[in-house]
Amino acid sequence: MYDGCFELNSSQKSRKMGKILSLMGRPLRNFNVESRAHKIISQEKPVPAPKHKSDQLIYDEIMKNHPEGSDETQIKHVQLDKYLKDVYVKSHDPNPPQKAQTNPDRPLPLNRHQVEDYEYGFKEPDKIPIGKTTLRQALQFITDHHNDSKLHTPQKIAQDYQIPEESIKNILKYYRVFEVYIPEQRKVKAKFAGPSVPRIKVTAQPKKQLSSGKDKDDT
Amino acid sequence: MLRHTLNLINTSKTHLNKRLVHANKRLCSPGAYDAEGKTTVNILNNETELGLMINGFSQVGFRLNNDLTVLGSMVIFPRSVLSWSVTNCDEITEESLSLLTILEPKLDILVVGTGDPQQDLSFYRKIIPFSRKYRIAFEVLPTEQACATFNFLSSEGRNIAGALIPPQTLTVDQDDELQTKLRYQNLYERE
Repeated sequence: MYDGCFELNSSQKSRKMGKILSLMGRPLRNFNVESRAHKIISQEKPVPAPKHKSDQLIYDEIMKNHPEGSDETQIKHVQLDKYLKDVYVKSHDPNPPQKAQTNPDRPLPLNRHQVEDYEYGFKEPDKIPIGKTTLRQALQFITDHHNDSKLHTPQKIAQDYQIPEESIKNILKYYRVFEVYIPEQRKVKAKFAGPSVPRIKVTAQPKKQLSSGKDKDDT
Repeated sequence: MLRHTLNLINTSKTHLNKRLVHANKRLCSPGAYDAEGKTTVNILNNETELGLMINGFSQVGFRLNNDLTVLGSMVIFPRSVLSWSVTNCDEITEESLSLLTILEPKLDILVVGTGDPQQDLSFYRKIIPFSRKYRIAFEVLPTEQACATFNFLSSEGRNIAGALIPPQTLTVDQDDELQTKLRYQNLYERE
């Protein structure tokens, strides 16, 4: 285990040394690099790279055995060239790719934005079956009934929302919205919410009063 | 005195509640586990985008995570809350649960907090035929456990409701006392 550790260290060291050496050698290697490159590019015909030793041996042997072969390859074969020119490939696809049919009633989504959270934490249905209600509707009619119980009677709510009157009565009996109480005595961050209590609104109406004729007499 | 129902999710490698953390994509934020020995704790109740949660309860009501103290029983939904005129377990009837039976979409689960722990099975005998009739799954628990259950289920993004009655008896420990004092008065002030 110790040896392995040492090996790792030494290899790391050599890697580091190699980098330093290559950094040192770079200016030398890059000396006059541009003009050398231009020289090679500007040649009319590129000089083929030298063959590998083993390839060169095989090549030499072939040339020695079949000296006529090399001449043949240099000459343009008129007949074969004509054949090549005459060939024309036409293609057709018996099964062109079918474009998927889109249902206009259910179009594919185009919006790629992140889906926002629903207001009540779940997707509300588009169609509500008769005798059922969504949370939004329930909160609405409970609030309505609390605000104006004479206008929003259970009968009317049952008619509007298509719910049996019996369950509306039960809901209004057992479920209330909240009223917020803020304590006056001391500073507390909390708000206290208790069930709302129906209250009678008292509004002062100005009464007509008889003006006393006393002032008139004095003046 | 309020009893606390703080729900800690410790995302360290040893105490990881894998099912819960994976179910909620928001809690799987990158960097929950940074490196060896580094862990992060998410407090469920402090994450406002997860909806309403119950922070504490007492004999008079419940404290929610939006600084609202609800007086009396309540029916709590993931993002809304209604007052419920039910004072004890015997009043949980078909009539008092009427709203929850006609809700569309149907509730995944209804968490019932019965206040104090039940002594016998009479409540369950009453609720099972009701559950079968309306096909609503129930989770009947003492309120203390029901609050935490509601918080967890709600954070998982389920369509749930919690019908909770404040308990009559509370066992309060020193930490609860301290937390309550910290909230309402300056601890280090001389009287």
